[in-house]
Amino acid sequence: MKIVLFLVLAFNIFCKNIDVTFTDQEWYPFIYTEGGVPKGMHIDLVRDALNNLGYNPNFIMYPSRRGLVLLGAGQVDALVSLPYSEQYSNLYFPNGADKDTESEYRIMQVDQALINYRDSNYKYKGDLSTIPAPVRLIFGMEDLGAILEDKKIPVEYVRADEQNFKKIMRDKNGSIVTTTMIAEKYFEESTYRQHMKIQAVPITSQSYFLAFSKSNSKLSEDEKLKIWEEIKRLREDYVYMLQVYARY
Amino acid sequence: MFSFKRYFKFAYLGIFVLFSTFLYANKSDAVIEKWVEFFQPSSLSKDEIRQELLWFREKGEQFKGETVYSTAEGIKTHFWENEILTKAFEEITGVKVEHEIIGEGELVQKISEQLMTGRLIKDIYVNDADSIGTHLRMGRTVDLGKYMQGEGKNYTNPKLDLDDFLNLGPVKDYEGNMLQLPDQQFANLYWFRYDWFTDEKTKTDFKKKYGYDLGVPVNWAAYEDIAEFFTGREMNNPNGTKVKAYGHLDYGKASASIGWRFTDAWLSMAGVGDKGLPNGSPVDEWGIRVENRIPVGSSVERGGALDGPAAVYALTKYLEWLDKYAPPQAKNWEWVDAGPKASEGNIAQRVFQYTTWLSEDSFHEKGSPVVGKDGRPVWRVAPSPVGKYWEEGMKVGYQDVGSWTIPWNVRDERRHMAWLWAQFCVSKSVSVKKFLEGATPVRKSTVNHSYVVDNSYRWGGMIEFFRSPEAEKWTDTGLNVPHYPALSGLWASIISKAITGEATAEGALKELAEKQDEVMSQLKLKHYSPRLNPKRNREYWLSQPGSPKAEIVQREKPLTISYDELIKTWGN
Repeated sequence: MKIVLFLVLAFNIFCKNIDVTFTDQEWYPFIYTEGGVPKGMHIDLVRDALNNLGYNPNFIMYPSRRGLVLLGAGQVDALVSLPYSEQYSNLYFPNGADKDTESEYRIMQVDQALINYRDSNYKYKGDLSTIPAPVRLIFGMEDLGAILEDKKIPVEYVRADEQNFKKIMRDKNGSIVTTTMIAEKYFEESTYRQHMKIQAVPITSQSYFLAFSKSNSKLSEDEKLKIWEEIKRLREDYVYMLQVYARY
Repeated sequence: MFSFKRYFKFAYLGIFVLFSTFLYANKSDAVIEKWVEFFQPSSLSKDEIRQELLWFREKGEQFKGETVYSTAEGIKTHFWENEILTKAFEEITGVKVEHEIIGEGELVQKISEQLMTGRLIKDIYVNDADSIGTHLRMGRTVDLGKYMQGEGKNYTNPKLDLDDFLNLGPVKDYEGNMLQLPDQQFANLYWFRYDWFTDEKTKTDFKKKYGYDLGVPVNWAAYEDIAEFFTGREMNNPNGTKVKAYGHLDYGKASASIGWRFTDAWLSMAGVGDKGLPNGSPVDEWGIRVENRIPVGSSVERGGALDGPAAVYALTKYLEWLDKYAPPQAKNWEWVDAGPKASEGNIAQRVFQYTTWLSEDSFHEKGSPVVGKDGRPVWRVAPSPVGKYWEEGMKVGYQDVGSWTIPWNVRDERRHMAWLWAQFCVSKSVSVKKFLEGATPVRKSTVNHSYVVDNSYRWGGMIEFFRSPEAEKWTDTGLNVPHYPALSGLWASIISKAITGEATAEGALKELAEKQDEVMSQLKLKHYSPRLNPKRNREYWLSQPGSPKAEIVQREKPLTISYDELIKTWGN
């Protein structure tokens, strides 16, 4: 009888499907799709952590805001990946995610770079209130937008980074905030490289997490913690992480 | 209207400003003078040092109050940089430096994260030039050659003198662009107890047992005989201690350092690769075949040699000697543990001694088991013996070239400050002094300096090595290895299986070759990305000339040479 009970429990644990949403915006090398297949460092870490614990992750692509709504409503189980913000009170983040320091349960730490039109001669030294306006962001960066708006800096949102790069070329003013990797990708084109400048100091450095829904009870507190711990274990695995880095 | 009161007010102000300037200049000059004296001996005259330090002060002026973040691995040279040079740089330039000393494994992980995710972790790394194949293929480090000609021209020390560096080959890509700047260099040499090897009774006993003279082993067969001979033998140390000796020293703990125990040219010493310097062509010491700068395979089935008979011989001998002739605790040691162990006085020889450890006090201080009554070391270093697959024209051993590397996302003033700091650490002003602390020279003017040459006995042959043209046969991992961080990690984890007995030598290398090929096939690098050969029958490749080499069954004839004869071949 005990054996049967064990097998039933084991079956439940080891066959649990987890619906994980991810953004439809290309965020290379962290999250993107290739031929419809979700790829990227954050996807790899989450997939491997879930697989190692016996879950069956099902990655579903949604626009960022739609993904957040579905997660909040419990229609998906988790979202890869999101920095902590007070506005996500309907989501589960690991303990300590609200701290400014690197979280031990992060998937990764991601820097955001500030980009300006080269002629402005502006130098960012860490004071957000000096950033040339308007600041162009993509949807999903509303938490940073809110901080800037608090400092009376006008913020504009678009769906993709490309639109922001085109706008700054057209208007010859303001700023863009995006990851260093994306900035460097655009700077491979001489037009952008000649006219724009990536600031030497990143504007933010945030821990990105696998966030869970509070509106769905598929995973217990303990199971969520075990998943975050497995992500941490993988991230600290020297050989594993170097393999992940090397793929992108 | 003229007012005396106002006049005096301005006069006082003027005097105050002049006095303050005088005080500041004097204090500042006192700082320069303090360091001019401290950095003796130097390959520059005191006046030249003064000029060089003043140049750093002038260039650092605009960055005063800023901080440079750098990191390096935990060897004595870098601890000294952290303790002394950061202080000197800050006092001279006003720029603070946080020079974090960490393990090599963590350093590789950090620089990989910075290069691959764009995160700004450090401004500059002392990253081994073993990663040159990665940097040239990724294009994510600052091309220092171009930088010095362009945006960095104003920040490039006119006294840098690149021609004075011992060897810039390891830091250049296929086209000759300089991607890194050497900061410290050390070799892997053969280490042995000269006093024991020249002891008459010991020599007689050895000859009686093995039929040839005890001396520096030229090949692995002789090394093996000597290891067997000394293991368990009672020997005396100059400080009066009696020990039961071990004929071999090594380490075997599963760790990142077990990976570089092998990638640091162990296979080339066995003779795995092809002839040709610096790394063997078309097959190098990692067993990777490279055609037209494109890596095409590691496994014998793809034309590589990582799971070939020579590699199996290399791993088998490592395991056998670790088991039979090294202290039993060695299996639980990492490279940092094994590094200074020979100074404890119970080791007769070591096939693979990183010379950086020879700067430890325990190898030099009076009363040490390995220092004679005259205060001179009783140990020596010599060329590493080679395995039975080795052929003339191949590299002999490994040389580590820790080199300043600036990631692509370090820009503008951060880049300039980092570059100033790097140049300061390798400046002629400080180089001789730095060598005396860490024994890791990068400049010809250091190893040729009269103080160093006159005191060369302190380093037991190391100076003669660095001054010799033979040193070019000791090279680091070369241009062929397309992703050092990812691939070296594999070596650490898979070789460990052979040490614990989880896999045989042959099985571990087969797995390693397959895994290395798999990882190479997944790499998406900007330049010269790997493209694997289709698989063919092993026999096809083993019957071709060169590497991969067919099995040599017979043991080679053991050969030794007298140290005093050998040192003459180093030519100085």
